[in-house]
Amino acid sequence: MLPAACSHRLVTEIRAALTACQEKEKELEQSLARCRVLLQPWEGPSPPGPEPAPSTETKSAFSECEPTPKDLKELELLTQALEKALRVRKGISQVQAKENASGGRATTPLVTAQADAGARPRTSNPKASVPTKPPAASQRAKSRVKKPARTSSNRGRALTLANQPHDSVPMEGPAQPCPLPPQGQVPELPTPTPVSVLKEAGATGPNPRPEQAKIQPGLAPEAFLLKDKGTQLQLPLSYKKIASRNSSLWAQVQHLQSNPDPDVAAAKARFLERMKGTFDLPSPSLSLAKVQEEVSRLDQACHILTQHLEETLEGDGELSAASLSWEQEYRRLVTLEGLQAAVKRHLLKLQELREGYRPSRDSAGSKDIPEEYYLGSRTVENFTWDSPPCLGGKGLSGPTNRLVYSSVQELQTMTALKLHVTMLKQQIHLQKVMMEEFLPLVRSETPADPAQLALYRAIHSQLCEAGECFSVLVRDEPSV
Amino acid sequence: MGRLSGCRRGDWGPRALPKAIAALSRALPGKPSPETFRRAKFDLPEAVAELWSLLFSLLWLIHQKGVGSRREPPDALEGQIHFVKWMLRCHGYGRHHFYHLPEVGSQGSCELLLAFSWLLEYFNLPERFLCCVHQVDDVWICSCKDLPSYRVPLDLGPKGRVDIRYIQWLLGKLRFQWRSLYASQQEQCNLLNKIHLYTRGCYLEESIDHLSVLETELFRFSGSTKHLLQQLESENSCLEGFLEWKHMELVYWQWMDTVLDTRPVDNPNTVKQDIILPEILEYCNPQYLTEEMDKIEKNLEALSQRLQEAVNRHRAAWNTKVCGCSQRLQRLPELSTITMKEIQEAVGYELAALEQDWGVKSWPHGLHRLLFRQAGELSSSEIHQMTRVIQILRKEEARLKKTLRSLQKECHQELAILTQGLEGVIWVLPNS
Repeated sequence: MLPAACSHRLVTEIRAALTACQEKEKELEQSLARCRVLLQPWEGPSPPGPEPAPSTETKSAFSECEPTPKDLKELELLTQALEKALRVRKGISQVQAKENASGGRATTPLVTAQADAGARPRTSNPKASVPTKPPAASQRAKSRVKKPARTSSNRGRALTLANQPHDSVPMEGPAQPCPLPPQGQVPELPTPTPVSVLKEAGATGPNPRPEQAKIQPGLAPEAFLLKDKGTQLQLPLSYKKIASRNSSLWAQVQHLQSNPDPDVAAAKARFLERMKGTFDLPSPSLSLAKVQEEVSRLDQACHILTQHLEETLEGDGELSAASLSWEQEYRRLVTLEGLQAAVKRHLLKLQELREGYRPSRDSAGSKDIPEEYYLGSRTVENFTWDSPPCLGGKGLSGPTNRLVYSSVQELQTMTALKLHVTMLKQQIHLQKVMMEEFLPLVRSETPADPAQLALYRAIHSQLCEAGECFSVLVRDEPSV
Repeated sequence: MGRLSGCRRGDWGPRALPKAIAALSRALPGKPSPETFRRAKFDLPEAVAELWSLLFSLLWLIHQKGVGSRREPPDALEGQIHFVKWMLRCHGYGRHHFYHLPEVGSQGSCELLLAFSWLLEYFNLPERFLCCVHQVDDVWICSCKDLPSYRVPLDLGPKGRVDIRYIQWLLGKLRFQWRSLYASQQEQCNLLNKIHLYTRGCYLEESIDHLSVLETELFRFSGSTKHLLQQLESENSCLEGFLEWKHMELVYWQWMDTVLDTRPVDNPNTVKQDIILPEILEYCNPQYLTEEMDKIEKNLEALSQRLQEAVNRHRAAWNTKVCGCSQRLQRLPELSTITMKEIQEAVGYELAALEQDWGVKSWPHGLHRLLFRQAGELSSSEIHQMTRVIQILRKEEARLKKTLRSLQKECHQELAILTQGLEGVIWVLPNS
């Protein structure tokens, strides 16, 4: 067992790292759900209109801004109930006729999927087991991976809209140009779904995958519509106006940032000076916040100087001094000396800061200061991902910075690298924490019993191999 | 520039000040009213409560932005007043009249007004709160070269002892989290790219020709349009208020001068005692700073030692080289004095630039909107942007990997006493 303080700190740090990861994962899930919803076939039997329909659809789940995964799940349950009703009403034979008739439609890949999966005999089963199976099916389907559920819910959504023509979502763009007749299509789509739902319910894991893979090309014709009719997607006029006003305002703001008014600056400075003149409390030359700012700058300076040192010494091991040119070597020497001078300067500054700042406060009372209260300075950074509080620079992050990419691979490489960099930073931090906590433990006593040996082995693997490889300990008994 | 550029100084009438304050209040969260300011100048008690709450909301926002932990704001007036006083004290605000204001919020509106104006200037206030609400597909690139230093609040978590296996398990869990994050992120890129691809050709602006996710959703869900429009409207009004404020700011500062004039000037010879109320200590942790300073001193000392060794080594090598050469020749033909001077200058500039740079973030730091364009259509400025970003990230990755490996090597060395010197146990290292 580890000592208490050590355990506490390690557990806290690692848990904080885990929480950060989990939050990021949640965000990613949400944005994934958003994207998926958009990429799935959009239904829209209602006529399009430039302005949104009157708000009678408050009951409908679509009037929410973004469908949360929870909403999608609920919707899926609802649609399954409706599918059952439809099935009972239309009968499976009609499904079979329509399936055979629709060649080259989106349903064909489904049929092929079913054929490939060898689930054809099942198509006759649901009819017999409709009354009893669906609850169980829906239960099991619900617990499946989200992907199959999504497609069924989406088709079911189409069904829902067909049944409620009045308060449905008006599609402004793709509805009208949609060549597949909505009324004709809609009854087709959900009906294979209950089959597929039941198939998934009965099938093992790998089965939904080929179906899913087959469904994707099935989705493509619908999404392809989006691509085809892309130019017809007219952004609502109101939005266009407001968005363009927004970007012009931001441009003005940025222009203002780069051309500050000297009169105003002078007036502000004068006011500040006068205020300072009236400050009559005895205070140190540097306020607490300023001290903290200076301290964090020194910290950054230390990091950057270390980095520069390592860059300068990079060739040290590989190249011998003789192979460097005179200039290079002289340059290196001068750089090192310059770095040394800089470090000395910073140490001096730190000394001054210390003397200026006297924590005399702790003499004013031995109160137990709760450790979570601490001063947030103006420029301190937090270890959050993608967090705008990098307030070091004065640049406002308006929407005018653009990054253009030309292929998916580029985007994926960039995001993977970003992730890796953040991960490495986290790893380094944890490594340092572990070093601080474990090394004193190891140094203090030599291991005596096997339990302690096991502990040291674990520590060794964690610190030196990132927990991936373990050493083997062999007891060396002297043969008696 | 906009319709506001026509205003000239000196043309302002008596309504200029309320207009300026109204503009300011549009740009600030909290929305104070111009009437409050007028009352405050005359030290009327009605303005006190609003000014306290304004100060509190602003300072709390600033505090929250700078600090990682999410704490509950104190909701009692007394707690809020404490917080305001503490924050101002820590940032060096020194008017003792202010600190002596009673905590029931009944008087002192003029002092509060002065404190507010000081805050405006010190924290660069309206600018600080301008943020872009309009979310397009963006990516945050952080090119900070240093490791973030953050402090984890330690009151979380159980306080008992744990076994090393629990730690190993937690770390393994973390590794799996990373992997699933990677997978999710790759898929996200894929989907985003699809949406960009499919919606090409329907934007109006020349430079952007596809929709972002948010905009595509406008078509999908009619309800979201309203919400987005409202958000954009409020952002626009905030920006307009900000711009108007910036044009009329001078009036406000001139007015504040007059307000300051109305305050009684104290006898400068009376000694004022320092304000150290024990309650304020509750929020302040001076030990944190001292620990930070100790840590940095240790790091700097270690760096200094490394530099000392490196310098000595290289100096010695240089001297032998020079000596070896000058034995044969009178002077160094390879390196004239002029070149040496040039090199010294160049290195000097480089190091100075290093020191200045760490306040300013270089490209590509910041929020960027992601745009998709086919390879053939890229303009000359854009064509290498992504490659550069990837390059920068790769370099950073390599540097961090090296740091991690060197830390691990250090651990190896430290633990060598274990692996080599145990009695009765043979320690077989992995990969050895």
